[in-house]
Amino acid sequence: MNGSLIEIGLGATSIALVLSVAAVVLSFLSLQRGAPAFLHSARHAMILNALLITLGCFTIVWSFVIKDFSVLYVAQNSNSQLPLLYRLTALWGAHEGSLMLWLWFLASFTAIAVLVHWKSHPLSMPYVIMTLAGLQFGFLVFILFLSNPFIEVHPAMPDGRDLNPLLQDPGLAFHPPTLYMGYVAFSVPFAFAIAALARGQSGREWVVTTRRWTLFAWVALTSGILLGGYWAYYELGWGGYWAWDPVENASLMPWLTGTAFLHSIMAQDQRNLFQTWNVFLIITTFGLSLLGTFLVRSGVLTSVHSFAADPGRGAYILGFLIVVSVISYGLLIWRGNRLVGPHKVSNLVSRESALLYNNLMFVAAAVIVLTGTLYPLAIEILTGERVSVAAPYFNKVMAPLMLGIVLLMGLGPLIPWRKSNFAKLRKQFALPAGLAVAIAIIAYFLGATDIIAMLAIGLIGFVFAATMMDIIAAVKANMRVTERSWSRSLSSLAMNNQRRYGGFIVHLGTLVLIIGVVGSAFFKEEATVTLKPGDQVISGPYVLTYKAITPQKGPNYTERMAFFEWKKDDGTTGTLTPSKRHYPVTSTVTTEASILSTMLGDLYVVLGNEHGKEEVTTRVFWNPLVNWIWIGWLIVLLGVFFAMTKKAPKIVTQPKEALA
Amino acid sequence: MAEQTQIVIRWWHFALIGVMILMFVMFAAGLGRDTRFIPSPLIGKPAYDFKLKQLRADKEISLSDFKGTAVVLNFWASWCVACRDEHHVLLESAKKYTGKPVQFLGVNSKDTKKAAIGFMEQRGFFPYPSVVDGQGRLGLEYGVYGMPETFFINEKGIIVAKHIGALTPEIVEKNIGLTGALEQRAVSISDDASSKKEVRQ
Repeated sequence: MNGSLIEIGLGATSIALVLSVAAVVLSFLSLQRGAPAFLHSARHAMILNALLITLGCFTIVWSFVIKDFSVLYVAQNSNSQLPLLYRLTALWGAHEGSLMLWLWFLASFTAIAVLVHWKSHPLSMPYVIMTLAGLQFGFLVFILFLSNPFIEVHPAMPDGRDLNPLLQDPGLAFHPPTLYMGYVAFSVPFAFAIAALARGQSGREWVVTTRRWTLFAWVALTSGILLGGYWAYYELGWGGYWAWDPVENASLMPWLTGTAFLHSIMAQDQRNLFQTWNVFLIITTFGLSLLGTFLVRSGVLTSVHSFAADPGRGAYILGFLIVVSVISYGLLIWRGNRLVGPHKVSNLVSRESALLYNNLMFVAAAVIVLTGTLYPLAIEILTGERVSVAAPYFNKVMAPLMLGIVLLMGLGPLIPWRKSNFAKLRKQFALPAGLAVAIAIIAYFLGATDIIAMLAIGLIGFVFAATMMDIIAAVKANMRVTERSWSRSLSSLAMNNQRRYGGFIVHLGTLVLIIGVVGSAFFKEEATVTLKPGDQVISGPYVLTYKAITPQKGPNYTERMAFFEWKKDDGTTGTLTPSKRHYPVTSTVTTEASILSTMLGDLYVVLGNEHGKEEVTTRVFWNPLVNWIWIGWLIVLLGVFFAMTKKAPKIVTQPKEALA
Repeated sequence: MAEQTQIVIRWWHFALIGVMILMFVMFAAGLGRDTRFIPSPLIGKPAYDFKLKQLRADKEISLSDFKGTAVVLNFWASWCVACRDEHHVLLESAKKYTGKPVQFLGVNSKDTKKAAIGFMEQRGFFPYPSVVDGQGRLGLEYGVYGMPETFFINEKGIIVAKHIGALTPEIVEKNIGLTGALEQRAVSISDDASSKKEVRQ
């Protein structure tokens, strides 16, 4: 009986393959013959595909739940002892299931897009369906022919192996799906951009329509990246959260261009500018999302993440990537000039030029990350030598760009559209700028002697002050007119400008996040020391005294637990108890880090080897302000969801176009 | 509808096409590489020393116990598919290098004792010890992600090669050659009288 369940999944997925081809053909015919009936069928095929692929995923998940080890994928990635949560998340524990999840997001988003935008965008719909169905086809072929998760083995294995142990962690269980959700959600704005290109439609329609999709994709990608960092920091025990690993970079690249896109569509929305550029950005962002998948799954780059490398699969993804790029960039070259509107950026000091600078910096950052990531590959191909581009390169090159972006974050939203001038700017920003200089000088004397750190701290102050001053000025003006209290003025302002105030919240959240990054990057202390009882280590504001190491007994383990007493300058004290656990049944040893986590920073202690006589090697980290990163992320989430509450204005296709 | 399509050539068209071609050629070339020979930043660096319990004995061993001989450090686990493929290679190679200054050492990583012993009962016990790295901490020190991975360490404790994926006899031979363990003996013969004697016998 169980065998037939997974066969149902295989059947459903195979039908989805046929339907994806049908949808492409039907949409094409609807254009050729001008017959809407064909498009209706294509629409039904896409909705059906979402259901079929959901069924396909469900059969895999269910096989995990009932521990059906006759399914090869289940047997390879779970065993009978694995807790239910990890059996559920084991769907994306390895290559085949991860792709299934990718496809499921794609099929679901396609169905949602087709349902939501059907009435308002009849003319774009054939192209949108063709694009999304084509993408589904590409992934379905890959899944069914090169990475099939529905394969059965008979006789069934008595028990499975295990889920990759690194994935048996709640933090990591949710990192891949969130990231994928972000990657895939960019496919909808991408499809609408292709439609705009194909139709030669130059208006703001497609960016306005897909604004929520873009926001959603961006926030999912941001969260996916941060969840990965969170997991690395708390579970891996090396005291950091970002290592410029190629796979991390692969997710950062679409984030950088996606962030540029998120900003520059405002110029198209408000001023009908940057049309071609926006299409370029979304094609690039989605292309980089595919590239991210390619880099992770093909083993073309060296990385701690390199999963089972398979050149056959890599070749397919590369071919797929080439087809997508040739079609979409080809359309851009062929049709791009029809998008150009009558307007130009007329003034160097204006909102639109601030957005232009923002875009240049984000794209430059993406280019830097891309070059740094691919450089080792290029060198190896050309000279056969192997090099690795390390964190110092990225840190050095990215830091100034990031400073520029932070500066723009303060300036951009406050400069008016069309035209401003330096005199106005001086008046508007004199106070925040003065404050920034003061903060930077104070920071210098408090120990921020690194020029980048000093600038970063000053700029954070600048952006915060400028943004708050702008909000306060708006609230005051509102209070004058309406004679309401400040809180009601603020809430009415925010509720009537969800996009602007959502943006402010996101920017403030980003500032908080950057405070965490600057703190932990520039003021981190790290020591590996061998301690005897009574020895002291000074780490950050703490004096850590090693007391003793004693054997302890837990329910199913014994452990060597070290006792450290920490003492802060203000007299507060406490203990930290990092330990090494030994589970006799499974003969495993685990190292339990002990973290004192405060808003000021984390005192992070990990035990190394013991050398007898209670001597023990210990790694002590002082990671200032790390918690601010996660708090900043929550504020960013809040801001994006607030901005998303603003509905897209209904843009119904202009009758003139409809007639044509 | 009747609008004529005309392509206006712009400078960025060439840039875009150029960059795309460059990238795709590079990826295609990258795919052609043998991905099993992946460089590790650890090559040329001293191997991380450890002291861990053995899988089948209650005694701990350290990497430094084997200073003076080359060490083949093999990370394996019972749940790893490719480890099955390389199992016989390890058994044969370890036999082949018996009596030579090459020590094989297994690291049973992220595994359970029961499963690991069962694995060896089925396929043959390694003629050399394995240490237990239950949580994969040692794996982290060595930058191991996928299993199996094998490190070749020379007699000075420097990592000279790393192999990802299942071993073959050729790979083992080539990388042991890189450690210089076999030439080392030849050199020591000429300056050490006692070992000369051994050779004569």
